Amino acid sequence: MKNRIAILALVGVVVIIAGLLYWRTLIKPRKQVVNGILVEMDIPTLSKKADTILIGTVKSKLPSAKDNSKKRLSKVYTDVIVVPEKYLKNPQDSPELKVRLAGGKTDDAWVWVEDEASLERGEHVLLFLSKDAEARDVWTVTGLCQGKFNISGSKVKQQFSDEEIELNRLEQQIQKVQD
Amino acid sequence: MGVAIFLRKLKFKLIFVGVGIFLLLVSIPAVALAFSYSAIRWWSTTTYVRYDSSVPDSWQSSGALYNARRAWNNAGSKFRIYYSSSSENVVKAGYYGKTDWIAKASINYNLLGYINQAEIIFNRSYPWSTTGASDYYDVQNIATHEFGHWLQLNDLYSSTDYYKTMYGHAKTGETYKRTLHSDDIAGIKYIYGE
Ligand SMILES: [Zn+2]
Repeated sequence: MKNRIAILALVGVVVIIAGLLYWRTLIKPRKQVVNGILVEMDIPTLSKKADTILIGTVKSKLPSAKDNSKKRLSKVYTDVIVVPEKYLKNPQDSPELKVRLAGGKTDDAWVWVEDEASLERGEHVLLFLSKDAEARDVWTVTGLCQGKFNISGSKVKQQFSDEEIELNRLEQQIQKVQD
Repeated sequence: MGVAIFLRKLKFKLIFVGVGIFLLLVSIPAVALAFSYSAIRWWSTTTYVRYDSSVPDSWQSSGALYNARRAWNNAGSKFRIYYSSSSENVVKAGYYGKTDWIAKASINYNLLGYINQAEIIFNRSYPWSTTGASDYYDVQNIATHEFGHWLQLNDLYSSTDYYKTMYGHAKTGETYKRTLHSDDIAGIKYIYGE
C-alpha cells in the first residue's frame, strides 16, 4: 500500500514537472533575436549623417518598454541616459541625453538585437547620434553598432571591431568632415 | 519490497540522466571559430517559408529568393529551407525609413533555444535590384545573408570576415554574399550536421 502511494506520488511529481517545463518552454516566453544587416558607414559617412557627436559617460539605463514603431529593429526598446562632457559636432543644451536602443526585456518579451549599439552604465564612450525618427528629445545611435566607440585612455574601439585607434586621430577625422 | 528496490534504482537512474543532461548542456561550445553561432536552432532540419504579398513579384520570378535558399540547401549540411504557402515563417517587405538597416531577420524561440517562427523583412526605403545594379542593394545578396540568420548564424564584423556571407554590413552593387564562403559552410554544418 505504501509503495503504491509512493509510485503515485512519484508519477504526480513527474507530471507536474513535465507540465511546468512544457508551459515554460513552449507557451509562456516570447523570446526573440533580431539580426539586421546594416548600411556600411565609415567615419566620414557617420560624421556627416550624425546630428550630434559627443564624448560622454552612460549614467543609467531605464526599464525597457514597447512601442509599435516599425522603424526600429524591434518593438521592445531600452532608453539610456548619457552625460556629455565634450561635443565634436552640434553641441546640445541639455545636460543629459536620452538614447533609445532597440531590444530589451519586458514582462512578456525578451528581445536581443544583435546589431544595436550596447550601452552599459559607467561606460565611457564616443557616440554618433541621430534624432529619433518619431520621439522628441530622443536620440538613436547613428548606424547602430557602427556609431559607438568605447574609450579607454587615449584609445578608442568600435563595438564589434578588434582594431584600436587613437582617440585624437578619430577626433581629427570627424573634424575634417565638418571643415 | 520489489517496488522499493525498483524505486531506489529509478532514483539512481534519474540522477544519472540528470547529470548526463547537465554535462551535455555545459559541453555545448559557446564559441565557434570562423563563424558565429547563437546556440539557437530549429528542432527539425527541414523548415518552410512563404513570401508575403508585400514582396515584389520580380524578386520571386527572377529567382533571387530561390537562389538565396538554394545556396544554404546546397551547402552540404542536412538543413533545408523549402517554400510552402501555408508556412508561418514569412519573408516580407515594407517601407521603414532610412534608419540604417536594410533588412532584418526576427527569430522567435523558446527557452530551450528552439525556433518557433522566423521572419525576414526587407526595408524598401532603400533601393533594391535583382541584377546587382551598382546603386541598388542586391536582393539575392541580402537574402542569402538573411537566410544565414534564419539558421541562426550571427553577423561578423571583423575586417578579416569581409568576404563571408555573414559579414554584417552591405553596400550597394555588392553581390559576393550570394556565394557562401567556406566558413559560412562550416557554420551550417556545425549547427545542423552533414
Ligand atoms: Zn546580419
